[in-house]
Amino acid sequence: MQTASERDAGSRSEGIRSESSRKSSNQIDSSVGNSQHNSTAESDNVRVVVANNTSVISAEGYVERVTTASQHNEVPFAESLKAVVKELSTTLLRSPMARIAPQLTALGYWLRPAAITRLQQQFDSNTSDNTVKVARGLALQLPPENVDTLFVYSWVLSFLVGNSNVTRLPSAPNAIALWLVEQITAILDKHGQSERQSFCYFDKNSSVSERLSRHCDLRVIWGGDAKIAAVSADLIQPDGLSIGFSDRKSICVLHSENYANLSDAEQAALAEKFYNDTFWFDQMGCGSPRLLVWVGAEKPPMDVFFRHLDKVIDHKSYRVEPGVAIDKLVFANEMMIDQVSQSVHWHRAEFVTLESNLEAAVLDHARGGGTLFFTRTDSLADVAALARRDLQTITTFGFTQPEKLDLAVRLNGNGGYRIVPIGEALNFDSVWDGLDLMQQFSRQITVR
Amino acid sequence: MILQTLRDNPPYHSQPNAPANAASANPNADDGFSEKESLTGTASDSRSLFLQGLCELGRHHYQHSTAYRNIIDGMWGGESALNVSRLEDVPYLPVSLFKTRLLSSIAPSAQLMTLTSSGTTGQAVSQIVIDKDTSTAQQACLANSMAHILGPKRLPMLVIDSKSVFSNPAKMSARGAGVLGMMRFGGRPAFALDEDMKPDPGAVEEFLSKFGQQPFFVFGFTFMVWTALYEVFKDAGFDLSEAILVHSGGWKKMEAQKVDNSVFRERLKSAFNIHQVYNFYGMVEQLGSIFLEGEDGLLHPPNFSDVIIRDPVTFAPCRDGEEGLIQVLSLIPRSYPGHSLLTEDIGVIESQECTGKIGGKGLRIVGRVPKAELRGCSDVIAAGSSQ
Repeated sequence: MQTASERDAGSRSEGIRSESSRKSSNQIDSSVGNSQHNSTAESDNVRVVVANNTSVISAEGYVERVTTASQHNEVPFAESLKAVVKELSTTLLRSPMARIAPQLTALGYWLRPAAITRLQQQFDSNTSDNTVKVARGLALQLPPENVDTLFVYSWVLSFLVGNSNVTRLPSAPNAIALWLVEQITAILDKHGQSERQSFCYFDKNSSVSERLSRHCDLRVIWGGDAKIAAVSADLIQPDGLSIGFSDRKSICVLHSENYANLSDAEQAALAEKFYNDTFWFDQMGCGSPRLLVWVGAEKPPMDVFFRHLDKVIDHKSYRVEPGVAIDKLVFANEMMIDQVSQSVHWHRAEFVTLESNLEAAVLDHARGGGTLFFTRTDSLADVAALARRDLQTITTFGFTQPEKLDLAVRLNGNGGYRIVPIGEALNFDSVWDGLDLMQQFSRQITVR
Repeated sequence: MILQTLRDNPPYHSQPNAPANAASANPNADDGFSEKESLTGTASDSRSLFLQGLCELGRHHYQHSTAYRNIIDGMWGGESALNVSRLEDVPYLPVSLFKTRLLSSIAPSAQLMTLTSSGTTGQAVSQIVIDKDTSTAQQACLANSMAHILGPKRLPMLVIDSKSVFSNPAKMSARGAGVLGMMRFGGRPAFALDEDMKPDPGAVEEFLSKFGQQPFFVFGFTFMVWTALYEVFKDAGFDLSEAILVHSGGWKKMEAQKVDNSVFRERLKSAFNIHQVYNFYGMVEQLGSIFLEGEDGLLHPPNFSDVIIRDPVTFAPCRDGEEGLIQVLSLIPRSYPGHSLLTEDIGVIESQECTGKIGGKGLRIVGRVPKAELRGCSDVIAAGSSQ
């Protein structure tokens, strides 16, 4: 096993990323404490955010207010809705916050008017002369606890197709999420939309979720299998739709020869994109690759790839906590014992690679924080062997469009819902996990 | 051999003129362990012998444990990694591995027992496979360490605990096993707590009136010594000046009461006039090897053990005085590959001096590495509390 020789590696740099990851581990403690506290004295109150004010309302009062407001739907992509999104985009792109939190820039860019026009075209594309698309009604958005911008993407798509939304905010939002909610609710308030678009906190063990669900035409659950199972116990409207985004796993596939033919600068640029895919959420994002598959040459240019990645990790000052380093050491030992892998390379605590076979079972093993399995195979088509329901994103480099389309056909809906270039693993798309969200979030009226 | 040689030459580095009670005393050793080979050389001879022993143990586990062989081959570059010339190059396993995988270097038929670490309900516990030879070695080594402070004679013993912690073998806890293990080094035990875990002043008084005028042995877990001896009897006027107090179990519970080692010692001295207090550091994964507290207040490994401090992230060895992860090495574990373990305890080596009768490398425990959790798209909070 190799350990880093530089003793100065211990001096931690405190980037915004590592700061927020520390914060999230604190959040676990505090929210676990809260839920224990609340299980004895459950609060049925709802804390509603409007701009930088929060008001506390009883569950009954809140449900009544929301259901009343939701009796009126907006027309999908109405100018009044697009105006809200436009202002939000401008606010995000101009904010000094975006400079320290690049996910805000990404969001602001995703929401810019040109992008919204494309969304609208996409929404209208399969509308014929004898269909009219309308909103579904009242939507309950249950975003994940720990991806700070996701709640906006999910909400905005539902908002644009004309729904009323109740968005339950994470129980312990980080500074970025808090700031975002403040901006969004202030803009909504200004545009007179705050009754229909509500951002709030409520205890998930309280009766609020159940009471709200009963009135829902749409419920969107992010946060994995266990959360979906828990929330699904609450009934929604008989003709309502509940969509769960379950636990997913992702991989990356590289064409060995095409990679080797890249210039040094191109390889460095690709390493940076791969770094963003992998390390952004400590490799715990659904779209972050766990397994690297090299297609082609008997001896893939792995060392070159790892050397470039190592440089990026260094440059970005990515650091893991001691607890994570130890956890990864335990994991690597377990993988040797279980023979999931026969060899591990400990580049540094932040980056550990394990050689494995092209087997779907490898996807079940993950520890995050820069733990990557790798293997090689002869052709891209072989990757279809990894297809299973929870395989989400396949980031690729060096393949032709026909080759990728061929893989998609071979996967045959058994997994692999996104085949996208390296660097786009975590990019949100209005088609997610195989579902066109705007179509799901709306209804079609047939007119003949 | 190497283990016995090291063990029987006073188990702790001591000053030449310091009274090492146990230099040649080992009341519990059976004949197989009583042969003595004098180690007349320097400390560095002892360390090179120790390293030789570790290398031999590594090869033994490589041959007899598939799991260990897979790790050495896959993570350390193969068998050649076991022949090293520097202590810090000895491969190590993370101690938590014993909680998730069973690691054994013996045939199932040779298994005498499985030791289990203490742990609160729901927490994973270590499973340590022990055969007869390893068990014998553990006991002999521990006996030598204890004799070093208690002397060759079996002293009357006051246990700061209750019989009930071990009276039901079916419900034997690590605490009960710890008490029972220590009772082998004392005689005519009395218990400061009755079977209902209530203080038993009568039993303590009776013990003191019978044995209080000569050296006697007091054992308890640190927290028990504080709550069931100090706090209960601090105003009782007991004279424990002849006591040799041995305690262990860590300071985590004591932190809440703002009691550290020096406060602990000071208070026990002022309340009972106890001046021989020995804390020790040990773990079920390396049973038989205890780091004993010297007069300097630091913890010292026995001759057949050693300690390395490593950077908690890079795992590179630290210099003396630098805090880091504690790696413990011991020649005892033969039935399981636990001779070189990286713990999750944080410590610092503060001294290499030989003062008093327990000296050499002096370790101070600073704390534990906090648990770290990486979270992704999956909502662990909802998962945890929905059940």
